[in-house]
Amino acid sequence: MDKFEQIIRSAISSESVASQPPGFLAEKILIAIENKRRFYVLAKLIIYSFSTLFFLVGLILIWQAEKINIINSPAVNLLSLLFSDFAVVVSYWQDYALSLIESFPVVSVVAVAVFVWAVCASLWMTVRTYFLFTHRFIKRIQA
Amino acid sequence: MTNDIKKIIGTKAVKISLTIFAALIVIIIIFWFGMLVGFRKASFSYQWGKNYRNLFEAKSEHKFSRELRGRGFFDAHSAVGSVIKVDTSTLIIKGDDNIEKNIFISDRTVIRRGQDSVMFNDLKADDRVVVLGVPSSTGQIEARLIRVISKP
Repeated sequence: MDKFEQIIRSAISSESVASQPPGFLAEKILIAIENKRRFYVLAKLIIYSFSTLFFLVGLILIWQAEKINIINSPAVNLLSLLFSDFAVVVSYWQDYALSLIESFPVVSVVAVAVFVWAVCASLWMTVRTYFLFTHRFIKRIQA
Repeated sequence: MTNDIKKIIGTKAVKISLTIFAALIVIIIIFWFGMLVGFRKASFSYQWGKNYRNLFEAKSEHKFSRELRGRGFFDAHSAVGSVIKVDTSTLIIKGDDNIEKNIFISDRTVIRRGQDSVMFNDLKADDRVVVLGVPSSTGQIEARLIRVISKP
């Protein structure tokens, strides 16, 4: 048995204080991890908040630009036929369906829908991250 | 045997493959609809341009080519706009996009104003109408339904 092994063996077998980690070390490590996580969540919260704001402004701008195209589109007038002349529309449903597809303002609706989706998604992520930030971590650290 | 098939189907690779396959089918259906509608619009626009002089005698060719440069194809199954001329069996309307369309009225055409059905003669210039119909080979729309609506 060489000298190094002897030292290791004696250190493991003995109950000396030097071989044991200090009691507060685990707590310190956990708090450090929580603080690091908290920092990352805060960064996420800021990014999501800004992205929500960005997409909201984008939605307002895109709606202002596309509102006239959507409201004045022939598809809106054709849709109103469903309520005023339902029987006739049903009897010519194929022509009606084609006319709706033809006149539907696809580009405008898709542009608005993309921004609506982006606002909803980023808002959802912001709220979720906010609750994570204010609830879970604070409770853990305070405990 | 059945369990083996279930295991194979349940794997991640198969699930991803099925999802991609379903997405491809949806994309192909949308593409097919786009082609169908595009073809109809293109055919109608071609016939409309070809018969322009017959349908709208008052317009000169020069004005026609200048006004329509850069525009897309027209809706072939519908028209929304104001009546500018009423003939014996046709109606000329000017849409919000400044495109004139010639609407052919047949015996099957239903014309509505409010709750009532009205006759073709009751239509007059400056009425705002929504027309649902079928494109003809002469660049007209054979009306199935004409609804007189209020002006915006």
